[in-house]
Amino acid sequence: MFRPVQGPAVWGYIIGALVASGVIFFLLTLIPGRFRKPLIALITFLAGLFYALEFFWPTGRDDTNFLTPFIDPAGQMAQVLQAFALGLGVYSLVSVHLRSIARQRSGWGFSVVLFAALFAIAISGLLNAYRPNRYNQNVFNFFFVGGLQALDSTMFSIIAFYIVSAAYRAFRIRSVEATILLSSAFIVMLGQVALGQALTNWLPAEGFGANLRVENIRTWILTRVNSPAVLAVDFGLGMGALATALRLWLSLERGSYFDREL
Amino acid sequence: MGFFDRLQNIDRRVLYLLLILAVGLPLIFSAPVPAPAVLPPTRSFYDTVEALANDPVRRNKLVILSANFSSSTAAESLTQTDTVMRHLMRRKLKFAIFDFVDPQGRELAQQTAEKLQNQYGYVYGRDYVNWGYRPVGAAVPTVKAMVRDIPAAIGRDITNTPLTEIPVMEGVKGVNDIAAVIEVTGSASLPVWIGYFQRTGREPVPTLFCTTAVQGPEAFPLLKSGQLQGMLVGLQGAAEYEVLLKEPGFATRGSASLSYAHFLILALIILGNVSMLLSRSRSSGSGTGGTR
Repeated sequence: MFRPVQGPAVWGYIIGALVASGVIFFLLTLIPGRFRKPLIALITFLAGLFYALEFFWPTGRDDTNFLTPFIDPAGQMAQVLQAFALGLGVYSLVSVHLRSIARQRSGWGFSVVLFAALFAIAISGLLNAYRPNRYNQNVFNFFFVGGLQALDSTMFSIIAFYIVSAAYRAFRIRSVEATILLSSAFIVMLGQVALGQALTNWLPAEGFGANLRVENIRTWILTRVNSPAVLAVDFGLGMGALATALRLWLSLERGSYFDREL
Repeated sequence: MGFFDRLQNIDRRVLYLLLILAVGLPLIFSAPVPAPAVLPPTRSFYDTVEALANDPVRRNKLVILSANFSSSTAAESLTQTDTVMRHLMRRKLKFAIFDFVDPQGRELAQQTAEKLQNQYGYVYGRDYVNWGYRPVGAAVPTVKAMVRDIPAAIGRDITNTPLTEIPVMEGVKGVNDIAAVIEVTGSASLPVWIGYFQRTGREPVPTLFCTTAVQGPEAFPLLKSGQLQGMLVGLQGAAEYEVLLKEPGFATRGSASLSYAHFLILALIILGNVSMLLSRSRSSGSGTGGTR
């Protein structure tokens, strides 16, 4: 529906959009307090109504209705709004940690580290994207591959140690339910890995005997025992999600972020 | 404290050391472990990609490789990306990397593509493209918009080139020009594709899922319902895929580590339970009463 603008004209549109946004934000600040919540509720309702109407409105031969052309701009608008939300998050993070450094609160050194990391990855990422050369790429790789990627993997892999310790201490057959749980976990774990599968790979791969191979028992547990339970949980979650979506759409939700400030 | 009580309370540092050895040694010394059995979800994943490659119409369409993961699940997700990308490149299928969960995903998948492109004669822009990252909160509106007009919904690739000017995007307009969606993730992002993309075209888009081992069990119902055409579960799924590709790589070596780590956990669980039962029977035998 809207075509991207190319060339120098794009700067005119950006400046125009910034000015228009500034004016809208200014006008919003002039709205009296008692009208703000109804306004937010109205915008939320209209935004949700658009997608609901577009989905339910009868379509023509080309499988579209009068709202379909607006799906693209709505999607792009959502991306812009999310980018603003990201900026808001960074602003909030920066203000909290700047205060922490300024007042030298306990652990303020970590705030300094946060700023160093934030700027290092952001600047090197921007330079690598907009001024790609060997030096910028190496700097970016140093922070991204050598820093972020390694730290992220390390943090997550630590869970493995806790799992081993917790499994050893907590998986005890103290009741019938615990015994059933432990037995099924045992089979699924064995059937999941090559060494476990090797225990029964002397059994035939086809026919009745194949049913007794550990990987097939594992698959049976996952598809015949686990799946119905997952579906039941999903059904409950789906109903809950529908109810929550309706409450959000109609601005009936109460609590933090909705009818009172944090 | 008796011997069996001590066996129930092994110092956690000893457990950590055992785990390091179980995971690390097979990786360093390539421990002998038999090839894993190829399970049905992996087989159907492979068959779906093969069917695409053998179909004269669908092989000219674009595969979306949705790299919705970060380094935290790299051992599983990145290995799966590597094996699946090898298969796509080997069968000369065009693909687009896309990401709407974590900005690391687009970068990690791009690194994998750049690592493999020379081996398979792939060229960025001609054979594959990276659409980049879009914010997670806008995932649903973006994917909904992609149904009718991908170039408009995505705009530009990671090199800031409009999608309409990229050769591999030629003829790609909307959902009907997509051969398959391959979702690689450790998050709950699959429903975005199933809910808002899969059945919006003239015919359903085959959807393949590479998930972490811990999330695999949740997705099994989707295989039975036909919403997923195949699934790789964790590092083991990637190892099974390497068996099918007849191209052993990191997943195969990792499969050995996984085997020994699993056996360590099972051995520790058995040890804990046996020592608990023996400790109980000894206590009740000596008349001091057992613990429940």
